[in-house]
Amino acid sequence: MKNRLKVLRAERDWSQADLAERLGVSRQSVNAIETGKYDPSLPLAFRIARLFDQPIEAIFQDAVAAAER
Amino acid sequence: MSPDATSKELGSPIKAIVVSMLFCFVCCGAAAAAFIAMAHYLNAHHAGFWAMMAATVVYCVVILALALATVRIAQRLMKATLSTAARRYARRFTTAMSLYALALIVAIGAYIRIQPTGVLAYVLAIAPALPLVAAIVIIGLYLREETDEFERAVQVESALWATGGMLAIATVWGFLETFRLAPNVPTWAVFPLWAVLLGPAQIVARWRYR
Repeated sequence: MKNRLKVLRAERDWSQADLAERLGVSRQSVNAIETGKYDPSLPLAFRIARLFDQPIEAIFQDAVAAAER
Repeated sequence: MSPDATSKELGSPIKAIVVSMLFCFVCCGAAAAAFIAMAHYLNAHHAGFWAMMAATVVYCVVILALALATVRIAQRLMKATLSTAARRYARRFTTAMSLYALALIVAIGAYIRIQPTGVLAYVLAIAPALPLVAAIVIIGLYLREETDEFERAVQVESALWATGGMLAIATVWGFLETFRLAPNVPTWAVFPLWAVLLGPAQIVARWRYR
């Protein structure tokens, strides 16, 4: 799933490891989510949203919704 | 630090698995060959029962040490520390394998020495199987205790790939046996087969998330 994690992370000058630590997940997880290869669970998606203080849909892009727009 | 720098820093899990598996296969192969040569030598020189048992114990210890070294190498190459659940898993699994080695040595020794019958024969025969059953439970516990959902997903997927491979190989082999084209293999061999398949399965499962 496409997402803006990398941008949001860059804005705060966080490394993947920094973000991983703040989320309580492995660096591999952050890498896989960021590259869109792994879709996080709903609880983790909410954790990410809370951390960046943005709604989930502002961070993750639903391909179907994007196509309909 | 640029955001991309860390993804480069991250050790490749696939490389780590390949290297550690090769290390494990080569060293375990060498240890097994040495053990077989030793057993032949002892047999040829009519060495006693205890000499044979001692050689077996040494072999088991070497194999366990190699398994632990393999985990260390993989960890170092991945530049990752194990999660709490993974550390607990490694400790429990090592304990189970040590008990298995011990039970196997006792059972084989007893069968050669006292040729047990009746209930004792059954107890001794099942003794090495119990730590392996425990090992299966330990794998299940790890999957439940792993808090990193991505890691858990990768592990579950690997387990399914290994299970599929194991079922396929066992099925093909079984029919070869039915038509008298392959020798009989004891069914306990499926678990070691599954464990061996778990290595390539990890590579397959992680490939998607490269």
